[in-house]
Amino acid sequence: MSTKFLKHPEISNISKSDDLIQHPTDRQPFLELRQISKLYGDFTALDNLNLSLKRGEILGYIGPNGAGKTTTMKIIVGLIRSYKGTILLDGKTVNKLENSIHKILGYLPQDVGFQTWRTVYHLLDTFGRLSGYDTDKLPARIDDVLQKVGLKDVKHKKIVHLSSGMQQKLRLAQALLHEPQFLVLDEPMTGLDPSSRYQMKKIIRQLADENITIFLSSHILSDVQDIADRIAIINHGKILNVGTPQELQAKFNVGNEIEIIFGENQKILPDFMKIPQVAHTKKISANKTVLTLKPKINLDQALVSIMNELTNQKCIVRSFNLLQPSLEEVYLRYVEEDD
Amino acid sequence: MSLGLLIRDEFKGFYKSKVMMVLWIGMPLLSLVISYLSPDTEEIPLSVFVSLMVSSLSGTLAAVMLSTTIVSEKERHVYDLFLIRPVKRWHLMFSKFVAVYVCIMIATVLSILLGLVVDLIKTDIHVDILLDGLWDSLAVSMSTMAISCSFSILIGLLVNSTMVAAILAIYAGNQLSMVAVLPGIFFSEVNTVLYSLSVGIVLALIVNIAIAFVIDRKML
Repeated sequence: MSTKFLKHPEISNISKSDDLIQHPTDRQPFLELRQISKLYGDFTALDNLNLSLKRGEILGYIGPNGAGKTTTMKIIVGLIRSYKGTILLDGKTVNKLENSIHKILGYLPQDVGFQTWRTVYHLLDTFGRLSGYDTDKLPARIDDVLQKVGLKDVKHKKIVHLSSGMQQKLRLAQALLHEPQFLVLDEPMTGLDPSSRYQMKKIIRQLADENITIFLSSHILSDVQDIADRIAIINHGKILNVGTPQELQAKFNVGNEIEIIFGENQKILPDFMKIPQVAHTKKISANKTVLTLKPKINLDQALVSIMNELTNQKCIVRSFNLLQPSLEEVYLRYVEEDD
Repeated sequence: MSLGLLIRDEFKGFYKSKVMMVLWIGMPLLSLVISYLSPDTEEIPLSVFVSLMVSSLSGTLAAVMLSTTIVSEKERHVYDLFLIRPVKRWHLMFSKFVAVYVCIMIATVLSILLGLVVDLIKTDIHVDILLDGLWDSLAVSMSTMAISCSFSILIGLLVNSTMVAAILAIYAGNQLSMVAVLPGIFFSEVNTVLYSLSVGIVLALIVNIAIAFVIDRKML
């Protein structure tokens, strides 16, 4: 049985910098989507979408329901084959009918059922063989993967008898089983309890450290924010922005807020409105005030001005916090602006 | 490589199913019971009667099961995880055809052997005559089943409702499979074995090619 398509164990163990030397092609994107459009009747699911993934990164893919996340993923994994545009894998055009991505792909779909007669082990055995994994090593690999996702105890149980959370873990298990170089995970945290969620994120992060490229969609932004190297925001079939979580926050330089907690004896508060960078103030409680800064100002200068004002007024300050907008706010702003 | 694996896999799934239990145990038993209860069948050897009955009943049963299973598996996106692996799309359905076909042929052969044993014990018909009739009915069974099985897969792929798939498999599938039987009944000069086998093979092949085309062009 051929294993030539699988990631070589030695490659997975070397560091990213060594890998760069060994792969001169790393300068070009690992995967590139060019001008991808998909219509369902009159409805435009994807509209000239361009997106690229670097080797070994986690690209988080976020957007509201119906934005086109799953459609993009199904096009990449070859389940949707009628679309306009080109997909390039390592610089080579992917054939729609003989999809070269299949040889390196692990896919966790959002909605997938299993045949009712299958046990956990039997499912993984079949998929491992179909993916071309070495049959001699497969039983041990299945044990490893089940251990990793926490399903070891239900190895010989029928899949229909598993809870939905366990089935979700099984979906991850089948995606990882054959040690693919490229993982497409569609809403992987769906249906998981908080500890499994944490476990799932840990596994995904570990895989990226092994130089596996991961394309991950979610509507739970904090999950993406925690683990993604870069984030792409999609709405109405178009990419609104791509960048690191920090870049996205910085780009939307609005809504920086400062929370000031005064000492209990502080009766008179300074008039913050005379500071030019302050847009408005809000008294939250007797000794807590939140200042909202104007957009696109120099943040450091604004902080100095506020500090000076507090010193001039001889205010007793217990705490002074800069509240940066969460990714959630950034995302909502992008989507709302787009709508 | 993936075809052999998928066939074994489907076989594993199918022989464990309740339908298979009915086919392998229920059908031969049912034929036995009927032969004892109904005096009309005394004219025909039991083995021939059994093979005709099993082929029509189990053929229909298998066809309905195949078409409805495919509709429901399609609906639950069961095939997605197969299609994203380096597997040829047509292997997926052809393996189903082979597995189910082999299973119901085993059921038929089991039933016929049982009928043959009963015939030999109960009647004084010569073995040669018995066997002669048997080849005819076996050939007809093989052909009708090949046609109805392949046709029901095509139905399962094209239709999106379990109910419609079942009805089409019962009526259309069965009607079509009669093509392999009728000339042998009406025209005595036709070589039944040769005719039904060739019709069965050609039709099943055409339908399987159509299945391969549909699954390759259509998104599951």
